[in-house]
Amino acid sequence: MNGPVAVSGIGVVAPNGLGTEQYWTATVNGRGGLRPVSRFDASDYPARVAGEVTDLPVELLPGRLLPQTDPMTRMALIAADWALSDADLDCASTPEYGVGVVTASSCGGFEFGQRELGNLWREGPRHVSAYQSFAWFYAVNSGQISIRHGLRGPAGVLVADGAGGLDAFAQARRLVRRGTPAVLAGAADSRLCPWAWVAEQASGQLSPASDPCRAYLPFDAAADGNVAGEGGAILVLEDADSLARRRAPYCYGLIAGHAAAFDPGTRVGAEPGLLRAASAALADAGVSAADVDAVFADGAAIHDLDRAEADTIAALFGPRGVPVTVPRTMTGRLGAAGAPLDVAAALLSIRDNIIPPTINVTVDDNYKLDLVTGEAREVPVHTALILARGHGGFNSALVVTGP
Amino acid sequence: MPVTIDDLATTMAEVAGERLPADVLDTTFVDLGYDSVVMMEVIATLERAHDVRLGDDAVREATTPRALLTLINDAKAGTEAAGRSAR
Repeated sequence: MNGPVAVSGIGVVAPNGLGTEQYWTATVNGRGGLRPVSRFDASDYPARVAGEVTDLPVELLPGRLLPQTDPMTRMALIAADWALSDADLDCASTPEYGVGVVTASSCGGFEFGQRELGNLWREGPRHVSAYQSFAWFYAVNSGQISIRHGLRGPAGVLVADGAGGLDAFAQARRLVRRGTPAVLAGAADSRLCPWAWVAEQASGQLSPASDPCRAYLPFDAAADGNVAGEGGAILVLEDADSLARRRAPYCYGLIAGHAAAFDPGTRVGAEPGLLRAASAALADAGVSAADVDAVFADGAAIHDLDRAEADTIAALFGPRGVPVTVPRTMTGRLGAAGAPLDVAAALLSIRDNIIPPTINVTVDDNYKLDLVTGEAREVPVHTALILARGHGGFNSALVVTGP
Repeated sequence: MPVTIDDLATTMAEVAGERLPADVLDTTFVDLGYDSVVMMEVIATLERAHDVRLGDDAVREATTPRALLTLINDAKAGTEAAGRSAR
């Protein structure tokens, strides 16, 4: 069961665009969505810039879902609706166990949890919402998507911080290969409430810059931390044959290869996890480094992490051997959902033969990267490598190819 | 003042996202599309608003709006009677 697994639908909710085409137009034109935090008063926090999703069209969701959902779940539900509609997949007419869902999450429903913990603290246990039993939970997006669309196929959630968003596609591909015709996969995350913001500060990785254009500068000598954002992407993965049989409107490409690897800890001389993950993902896809047309980097904008990632890319492709980009500079880092958004961007790069730029960055020559800065680069793109890392040593890599 | 169907409809709008439609006094909450978690939330909200306790079985017993209103109004009457006799 190693048949090709294709992507037939994409749904995007991002700080620089709602819906795939709005996001993609903004992204290829280098229009970012980083702003001073407006959701709450962040003026006294060390970090004050975020990638906020504004004007989320919650009216697209049934009113009954609103009291029981955190913002990240609303984003996941809307992205899933858009992905299914893009794929023209009618879940009601598929076999009973024919559609599954796999999401990734980094933190669950923080804002909902903050409100209910506040109720517990101020008013007592009888004032905590019954919805708290699931609304804070990191598996809630998979649950709510499956309930909304009556999906009875396999469901699950991956938790590996930023790397989990790629692992979700690997798990979805595994489910399709085992016989589930279609699986929704991806993530939406949101950490823009005071409680989550405090937890984010503790990572020590957020930029103290107050100017949104100077707050997230991966591979720049001036890099000084990154920016948290919210949003995400949900994709529809299908068995390539059944996609063709049902005459799906469009095939964006194939989920061709994946690998995950932990960092080796303190073992001297061990190969870094990111390099092992990237090499193994290329091998899994059956492609060589020379076949790769674009790399969507993790882009932590922390010197040591940028160095490790640049070294990995140079080890695989040689110095300045492949175009590299970090569209995350336009959205901030979306927790587990950053990588799914990058996968969407990579597939759209393949569709349109254009690599979106890394904005605001002047690349530090010492990294020996061919970073796509300034403007998007129009080149043929058939194969893309997406890299993602998570706190605590998680590394994952995914290869997508054109149809 | 007993709790009315209109009070319940308003509570449902707040915590379940939609007002109860008219003429559903004897329609089951299940048929109206509400699961047990929603009903736990509705009952907890009514308990707080009217300062009564319905107990853990209320979710199972209050299958329709009429049954729920009877439960809560009986509890209210009991609480008020107990309050009077204590004075």
